[in-house]
Amino acid sequence: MSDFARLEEKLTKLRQRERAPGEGRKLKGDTADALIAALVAEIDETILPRRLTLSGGDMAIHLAVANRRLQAMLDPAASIEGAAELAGAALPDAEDPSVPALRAILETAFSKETNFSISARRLDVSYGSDIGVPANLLARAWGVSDAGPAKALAPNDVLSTFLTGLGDDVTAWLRIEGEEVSDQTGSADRLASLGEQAAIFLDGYFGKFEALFPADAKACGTVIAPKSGSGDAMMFVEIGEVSAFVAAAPDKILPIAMRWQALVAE
Amino acid sequence: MSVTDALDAMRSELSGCSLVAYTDLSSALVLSASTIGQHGQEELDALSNAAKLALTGVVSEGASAVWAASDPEAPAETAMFLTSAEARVFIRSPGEAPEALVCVCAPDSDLNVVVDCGRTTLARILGESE
Repeated sequence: MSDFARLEEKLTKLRQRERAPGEGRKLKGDTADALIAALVAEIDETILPRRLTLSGGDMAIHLAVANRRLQAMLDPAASIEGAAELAGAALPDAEDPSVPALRAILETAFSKETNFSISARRLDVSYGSDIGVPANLLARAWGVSDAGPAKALAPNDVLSTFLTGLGDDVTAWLRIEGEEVSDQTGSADRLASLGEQAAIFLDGYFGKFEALFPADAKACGTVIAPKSGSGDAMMFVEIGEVSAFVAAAPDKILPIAMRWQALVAE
Repeated sequence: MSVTDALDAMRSELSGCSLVAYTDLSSALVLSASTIGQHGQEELDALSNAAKLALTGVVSEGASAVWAASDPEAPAETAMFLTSAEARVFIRSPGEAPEALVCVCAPDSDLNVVVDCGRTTLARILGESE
């Protein structure tokens, strides 16, 4: 992966700029149950260790999430009955009494205030990747409807399905998880240059992101292509915490873009 | 066919298309637009600014690194910003004219059809202005 050291260094800087501490987005839902379902969906989309902070009114609830698992509620605990006792304690499994207790705390918070935002930052404590309750089991334990957002294909799976289906239609691609290139396809020469090219593109892309996409956009895809015969076109896709940079001939890039849209379109 | 007629024809031809606009890339101003429903000036300005960034601005410059080894002078001809809710397609006019067509359509649109239709519309508009 040393070929991608510059890209990974760039991603670290750019994503830090993109997600400034305290910068949040709205947690969608009009009722406590809907907000809990939306939170489970967020947990299901979080691969890397993150401190998710839910902020609403004068309340803030901090959660440790990694590997699509809710690992713990963190300090400082919200001033809700029972919160202080749970804060900092890892959730061992879905059967533990702390799981329904945490749901009760969230339900109390979401019943008092429905306008919550959610923000994420690096987790500064480590619970281990196998600690916590997976999102699918959490949905069951918390009574989140199967028809809710948690049923949707997880971002990681969406990206895997997309990249696996590209086959020979692409020249090369890089799969990016957080700040790391986690997988790749293409010749060694093409991949070496693609890492550099991705770093150049992402510099401008993240700098202008807010002018390119609406604030609540999910599953963003960007295609930029020269005329046919001028070399590769590019596509960059992002969903949750995972993304991919794809190079393909200009006459192949539109079918590739449509495959992506078929996976993510509402 | 006038510019307005050409934009109306394109919007009518594409199922799920809510907006087609003809924009000047150097000034990032919409020259003419055909829309369904209300699209405020702020939205048109934002689309025009996105077209400029994608086809001649910093985003286009960054993307051109991908094809620079083959054709360093080639400009971005087509750009798209896609979300789960919509597809925004930008097509640069051929030649030196710094103009582009912007199309906002359904997220599952046939993008080949949208681009082909956009190129035909641009040809009609440019043929009209010559």
